[in-house]
Amino acid sequence: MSDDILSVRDLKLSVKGDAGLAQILDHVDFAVKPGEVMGLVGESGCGKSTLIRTILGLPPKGARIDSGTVAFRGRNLLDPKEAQQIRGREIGFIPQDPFQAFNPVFTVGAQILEILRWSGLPDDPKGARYDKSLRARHKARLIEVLRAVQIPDPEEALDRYPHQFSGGQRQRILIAGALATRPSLILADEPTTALDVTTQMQILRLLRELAADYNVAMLFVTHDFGVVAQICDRVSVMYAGQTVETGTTPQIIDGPRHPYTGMLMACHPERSTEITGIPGQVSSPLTPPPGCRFAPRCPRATEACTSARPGLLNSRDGRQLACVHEEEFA
Amino acid sequence: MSRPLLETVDLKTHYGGTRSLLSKPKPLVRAVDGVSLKIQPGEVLGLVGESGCGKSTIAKTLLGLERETEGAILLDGFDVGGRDPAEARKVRSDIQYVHQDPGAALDPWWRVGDTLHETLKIHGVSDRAERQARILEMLNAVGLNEGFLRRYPHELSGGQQRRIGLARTLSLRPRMVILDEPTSGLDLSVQATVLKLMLDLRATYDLTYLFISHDLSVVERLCDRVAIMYLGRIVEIGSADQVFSAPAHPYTRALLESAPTLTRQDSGQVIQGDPPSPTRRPEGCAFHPRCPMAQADCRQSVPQLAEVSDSQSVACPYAMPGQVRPAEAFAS
Ligand SMILES: Nc1ncnc2c1ncn2[C@@H]1O[C@H](COP(=O)(O)OP(=O)(O)OP(=O)(O)O)[C@@H](O)[C@H]1O
Ligand SMILES: Nc1ncnc2c1ncn2[C@@H]1O[C@H](COP(=O)(O)OP(=O)(O)OP(=O)(O)O)[C@@H](O)[C@H]1O
Ligand SMILES: [Mg+2]
Ligand SMILES: [Mg+2]
Repeated sequence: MSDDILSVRDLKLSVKGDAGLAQILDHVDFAVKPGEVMGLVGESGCGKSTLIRTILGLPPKGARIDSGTVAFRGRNLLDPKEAQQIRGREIGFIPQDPFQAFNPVFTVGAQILEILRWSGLPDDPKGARYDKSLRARHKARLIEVLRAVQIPDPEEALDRYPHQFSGGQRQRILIAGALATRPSLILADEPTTALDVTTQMQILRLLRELAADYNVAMLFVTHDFGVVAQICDRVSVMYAGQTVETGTTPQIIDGPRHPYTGMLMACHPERSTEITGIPGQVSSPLTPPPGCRFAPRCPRATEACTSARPGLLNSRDGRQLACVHEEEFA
Repeated sequence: MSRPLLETVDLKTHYGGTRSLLSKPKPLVRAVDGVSLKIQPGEVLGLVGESGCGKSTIAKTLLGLERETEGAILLDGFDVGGRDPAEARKVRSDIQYVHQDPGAALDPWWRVGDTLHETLKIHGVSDRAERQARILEMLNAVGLNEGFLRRYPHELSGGQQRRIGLARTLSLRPRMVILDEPTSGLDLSVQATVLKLMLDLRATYDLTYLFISHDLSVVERLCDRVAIMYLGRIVEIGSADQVFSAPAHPYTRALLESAPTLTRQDSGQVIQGDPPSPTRRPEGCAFHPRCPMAQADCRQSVPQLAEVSDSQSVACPYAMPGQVRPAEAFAS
C-alpha cells in the first residue's frame, strides 16, 4: 500500500474533435504525498488543464481514457460516481481567474454557501436536511476560513458583491472556499497569474502556511519557476502530454537532467540576459511524433529516441526521468 | 525630442456614479484618474500595476472603446478625444489592441482561420491569397502552424488562444499596438518567442507598443520606458534602466522586492495589505495606508509627478532616487 494521496499512473487520454483524434496526455505519471506541495510545470498546451480536469473527474467533452489510473487515497477518480463524491469535499479547487470565478449579481457569501450546500461539510450531521441551522453552521465555518485567509471583517464580507473586492481579495475568498470542506488535497491552476507581484507573494506565503497548518497537499500548476521556488516541495515537468522529469524543487531548478527541463531553465531571465527560447515548435497532439515527443527539438536526440517512448525510470538521486541518454547515469 | 505618436493630458475615465430611474445607483469608480503620458514613435512603453489599477481602462480609452470623462488624447499631435465609440475607432484605427482575455478575440462558433480572414476582410484586405499569406506569416511567427486554422477556439489551450490573438492583431499591421498582458500564461520558451517576435516586428513595421504587464522581468527586458501605476494614477515613470536599477517610489520598490526569484525568499518584508478599491480612494496619496514611509502630510495632499533625474519622474515627496537595489549592488 502506498501512502500517496494522489497518484497518476501511466495516464493516456485522447479527445475526439473536429480536426481528428488529439492524443493529449501520453503516459503522465507522478504521485503526491500527504501535505506535500507539488508543482506541475510545462509548455503552454502540454495538457496541464486537461490533467487537472481529469483529476477532478471532469475530463473534456469527447475525452477517452486509453490507459492508466488516477487515484485519490487508492480510490478511483476515473469512475465518475466516485469522483463526484470526492470532488469539492476531499479535493478542493482554486481556479486561475479570480475575476471570472464569481457571478457578479450575487453576494460572495451566497455563492460559496450554495457550493457548500451541495458539497456539504464533513461534520454535517448524517442525512440532515438543509435548513436554517445547517446553513448557519456552514456560514460559521466559512467565516472561520475567511479569517484564516486574512479577509478583514469576514461577517460583513459575506454580504458584499464580487466587484467590491480587489483581485487579491477575491483570490483569498476562493482559497477560503476551497479550504472550507477541510480537503486533504487542493488543485490550483495558475492561481496567481492575474495578480501583481506584491499580492502574489502574499498569497504564496499564505498558501504555504495553510498547507503546513492544515496538512493539505497541493498540486500547483504554474509557468513560473520563481513561483515554484517559493512554494513547491517537488516539481513534475511535462512536455507535450508526457511526464519527462519529476524531482525536488532544488533538483529541477539547479540540476535539471532531462534536456527539455534544462533548456527551459536556461530561458529563465535569471539564467540568461538575452531573450532566448527553445528552437522549434511543440508538436500537435493531432500528429504527435513517435517515441519521445521532445526528440524533434532535442539537440541530444538519436534514433533510439524516436523508436520508442523512453520509460520513466527511478534515478538514484530520487527523481524520475524519461530520457534514454540519462539511463546509463540513472 | 520628436513629436509623440500618442499623448494623453490629464486623462480621466470614470465608471458609474450616475443615477437613473431604471437602475440602482452604481458607485463611482475612478478607474483612470489623471494620467498624462507621451509615447514616442518606435518606443516600447511598459505599463505596470496591480490588478484593478486601471491599466486595461487606459487601453480601452485610448482605443476609443470607452469614452474619457475628462482630459485630452492626441494622435500625431491631433486631438482625437471626445468622440463616440464608433467615430473614435475610425480616427484611431492606427491603434490596435491585443485583448487581455485570450478568448475574447475569437468567436466560439467559428474556426480560427475564418475569424482571421474575417478580421482582415473588415479591414479592407479583399484579396484572399494576400490574406492567407499574411495569416500564415503571423501564425508561423507566433509559433503555430497552418493546422490551427481548422480548429475551433475550445480546441486550443489558453496559451494557444493568446498566440492566435496576437497573430490576428499583428496581421492588421497597425502603427501602434496596445498589448494587454500578452505573455501571461505562456511558458518561458514561448514567451521568449513572442517577445522576440514583437521586437522583430517593431523593426520591420516601425511599430510602437504600449505593453501592459504584471511580469517585471519581461517589462525590464522589452521596454524602453516604464510607467508604474497605482489606483488610477502614474506614481513613477522613467527609462526602464533607471526605474529597475534605482526605483524611487516606495510602491515600485515593493514591486521589485516581491518579484519571485529562483531561490525561496523567506525573509524580506512583503508589503502588507491589499490595494484599496477605486470606489474608496484614500485621501492624499492613495498608497499611504500601505506605505512604510508615510508621513502625516501624505494623508492630506496628492503628490504630483516630479522629475528626480533627467529620465525619471516620481509622485512621492519622500522618494529616494538613486537608491540602488540590493541585488544590483552585488551583481558583478
Ligand atoms: N478537442 C480538441 N481537439 C484537438 N486538440 C485539443 C482539443 N482539446 C484540447 N486540445 C489540445 O490539447 C492540448 C492541451 O490543452 P490544455 O488546455 O490541457 O493545455 P495547458 O497545458 O493547460 O496549456 P496552457 O498552459 O496554455 O493553459 C492543447 O494542445 C490543445 O490544443
Ligand atoms: N465597466 C465597468 N464598470 C464599472 N467598473 C469597472 C468597469 N470596468 C472596470 N471597472 C473597474 O475599474 C477598475 C480598473 O479596471 P481595469 O480593468 O482597468 O484594471 P486593470 O489594471 O486592467 O486590472 P487587471 O490587471 O486585473 O487586468 C477596477 O476596479 C474595475 O473593477
Ligand atoms: Mg491551462
Ligand atoms: Mg486589465
